[in-house]
Amino acid sequence: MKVAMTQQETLKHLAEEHVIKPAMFEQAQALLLADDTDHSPWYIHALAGLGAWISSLLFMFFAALTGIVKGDISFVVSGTLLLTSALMLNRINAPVQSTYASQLLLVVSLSGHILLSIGISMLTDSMAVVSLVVMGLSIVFILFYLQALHQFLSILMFFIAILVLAAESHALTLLMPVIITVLAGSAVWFWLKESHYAAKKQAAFYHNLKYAVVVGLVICASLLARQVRYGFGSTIDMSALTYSLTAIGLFFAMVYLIAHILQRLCVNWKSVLGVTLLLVTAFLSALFYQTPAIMISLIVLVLGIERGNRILIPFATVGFIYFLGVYYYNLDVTLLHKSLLLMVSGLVLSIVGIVFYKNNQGE
Amino acid sequence: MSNRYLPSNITHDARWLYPLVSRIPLSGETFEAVLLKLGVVPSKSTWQQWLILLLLGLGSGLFLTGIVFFFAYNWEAMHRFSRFTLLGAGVIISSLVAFWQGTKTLLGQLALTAASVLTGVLLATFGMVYQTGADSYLFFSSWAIAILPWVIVSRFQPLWLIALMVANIAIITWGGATISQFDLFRDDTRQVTLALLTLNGCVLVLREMTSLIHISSELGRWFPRIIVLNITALVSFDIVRFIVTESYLDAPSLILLYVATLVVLSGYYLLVRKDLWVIALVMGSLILTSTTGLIEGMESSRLSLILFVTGVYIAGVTAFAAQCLRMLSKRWNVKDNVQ
Repeated sequence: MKVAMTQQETLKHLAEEHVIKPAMFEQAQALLLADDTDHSPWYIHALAGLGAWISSLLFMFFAALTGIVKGDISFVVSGTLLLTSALMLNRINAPVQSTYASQLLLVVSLSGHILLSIGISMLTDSMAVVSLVVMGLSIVFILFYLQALHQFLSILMFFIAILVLAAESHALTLLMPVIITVLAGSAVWFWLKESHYAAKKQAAFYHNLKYAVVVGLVICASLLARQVRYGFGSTIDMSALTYSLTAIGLFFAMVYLIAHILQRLCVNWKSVLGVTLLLVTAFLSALFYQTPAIMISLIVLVLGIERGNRILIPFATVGFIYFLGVYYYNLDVTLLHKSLLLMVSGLVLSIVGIVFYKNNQGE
Repeated sequence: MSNRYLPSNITHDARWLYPLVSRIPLSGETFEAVLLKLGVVPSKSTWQQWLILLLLGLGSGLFLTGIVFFFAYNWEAMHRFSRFTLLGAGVIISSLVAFWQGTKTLLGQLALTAASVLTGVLLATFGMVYQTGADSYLFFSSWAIAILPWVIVSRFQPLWLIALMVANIAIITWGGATISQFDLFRDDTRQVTLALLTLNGCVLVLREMTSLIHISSELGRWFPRIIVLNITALVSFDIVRFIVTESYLDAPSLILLYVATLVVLSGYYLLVRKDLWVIALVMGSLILTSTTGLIEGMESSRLSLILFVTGVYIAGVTAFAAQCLRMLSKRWNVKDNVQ
């Protein structure tokens, strides 16, 4: 069994192949040996984040039950106090990076967000105002709160606030295609330019941004997959135009992605391969235009493969399977038509795959 | 390391490089060249393999889904022989393709998977047409047994997962059919839990034993991780149920089973396999059960006190768990670094 190269061996190999300069090799070695960076995988951050969310919700209920926080003004004041404390204490903790302090501050910050949002909602009786406040808070915390998990959550909160604002303005059906197209385009852009942003000073921010954009895209996809339930008892019906425009936007995002990959691999997009991929993309976009979530899963999957990312690929695969199941419940097309479309498209794709397979074996 | 199922770019772990890039500093172009050299960013030949995998996987997946949708539609209108002919032909054609291509190729493995799924559909059709009156568990167990030889020869993890899911459903439906007043909160459903644990445990042991021979890459870990998730969820649910219902029947054996399961999993995946995901799952289970115990223990206290104490406890214990996991991750990375 071949053993993977250690990190040291990998750096040495890169230096020997003249991919990196000897000075860079020595610097990298020294940094590795110091090893003060956090290598923890995503599920450790998820565990910490989940714990913080649950704790902050429990504290919030505690505050409401005991009357510590009573009335709209006290919600706003206590929320603001907690947020200010979290921001200030985070600057003190930043050099030390104590896990316990980071977790506690995350709980304090999230509790502050919730309390302030509830207070403003009670004061103004307007979710639009709450959304604007959340967007403002998110920007402040992205800029000044030095913690990766919180930055990620702030970016997500910003996206969700945009969606709520759009729903409050009764413009969600119109804006959804725009939001999804922008998110899909941003996801493609940030992931394809990953190396460029990794070299920048704000590398940590871009790292969180690229994941948050993908999660935001999936949230929008989930909203589109079912009738949107908003508020208490009301629903927002997505029109056929919403789905069609979204499908067109996603088609162009996928075409841009494929064009970039073909250019990187020095393959002419007018070649048989390029044209086949374009036709397959158009076909799949048309087939699943009423469940754009499926196209979104495919975009994320191709992005994951192009960047060799082992988080995107399984999530995109699971998402694809789930949204294919949701397609079953699409009532605008009969089950017979859906089944025939799927079988024919499956056969066509399989035949194309077999042709490529045989060509590849021949080469 | 190579994985014979998936193209090679996905087996290289370059996550440790990203935090270094801005600190060295490396330019964006140099870093991209590094990723290309390490094979993380796929080359033309790697992308060719991926393209074939995507087209065949997507194609076969859509085709199979179409067949399932087809049989869900207006089933009554079709004559029973048409149904059997179509399904039977599907099973035979898929099996022939698998035989022709062999189980060492992706096409052969996908064909075998299709044959396995269609076998289940065929059995379901038989039961529906002839109204055999068989219980659900008979259908699922027959399906699992029928495809077992294919599952063994396929050496294809997605098919193993399908077979395992079918077998698990067979046991659960068996519980529903044979245990009177089947209720997840009754004690006699522990037979079902034990049966599920035994099944998943045996599959996990087999998988880990064979993995040393066949699959060596990190990506091959998803299947055993899913099994561990099943096992952990089962024993955790049992303990939570025990705490919530205050059902003290066989309490010592229940606690012993829970502790033993976690100890075995932790021991193996800490000392032998070094899989952080499993350790995180074990910690998650301990957090869940201990929090449930804490809330039950404070049952007679005021709600506000329960909320406060639980909030503090969860914040503290998740921070502790995250800290332990980070330390482990660092130690395993450093160990790899200095070898």
